[in-house]
Amino acid sequence: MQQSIEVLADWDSIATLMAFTDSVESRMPLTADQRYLMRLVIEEIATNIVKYGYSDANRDVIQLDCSYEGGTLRIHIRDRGESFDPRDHPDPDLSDADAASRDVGGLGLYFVREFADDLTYQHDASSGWNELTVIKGR
Amino acid sequence: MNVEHIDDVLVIELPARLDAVGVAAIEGNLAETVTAHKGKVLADMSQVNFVASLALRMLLTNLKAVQPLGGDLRLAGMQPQIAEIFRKSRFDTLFKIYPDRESALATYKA
Repeated sequence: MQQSIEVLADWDSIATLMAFTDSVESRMPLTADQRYLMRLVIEEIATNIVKYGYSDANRDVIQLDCSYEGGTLRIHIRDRGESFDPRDHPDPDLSDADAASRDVGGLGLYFVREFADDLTYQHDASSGWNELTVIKGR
Repeated sequence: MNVEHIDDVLVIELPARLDAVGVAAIEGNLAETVTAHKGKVLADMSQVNFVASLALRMLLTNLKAVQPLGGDLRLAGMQPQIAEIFRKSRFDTLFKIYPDRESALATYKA
């Protein structure tokens, strides 16, 4: 089972991608954790691509592909913006229990890394495409 | 976003999806309501089935806004996956969290 979508990487596309996950959820027998991760990927990765991957000078597409086989969900998210490997991003400092000084930077990527079974990232220098693959079993 | 007053507590029922779209829809109104109240606030999260970093940021911003005014923002009714997000991010150490609206309201009365 496989479903794909391509959108222009702007803010409106985030709502379109979220609506796409509704359609994926209605067709694939995903677990609650797989559904949550799929939404996290859009919320945290796709918004990063819109915000940092592209600028208004080079805005191009985001391609999202979800496939489900043998109980495993594979999410591929591709773009042609700045390359950025989310695996390299440092974990946030979670030790500060004081609300006034707590820093919330880096939480989004941390959630994706925590919820996924595996992440792989590739940047193709000749074509400019970046591809992040997120895998989650049952 | 449903808002009601129960005694001196402002109770806010948060919507199901606190994704980028859901947060954008309520954050202005939420901040305004919470700061205007200046006191005890309870966010009922029983309908919420998705939060990510943006929603945590929004909740923390409101907690920070209300604490210096002598108020608090307490949370109640988290579904298991939402509770896991709070655990993983250790946001469960920043907020007072209760299983349901009634028990949270009781702590405000104590």
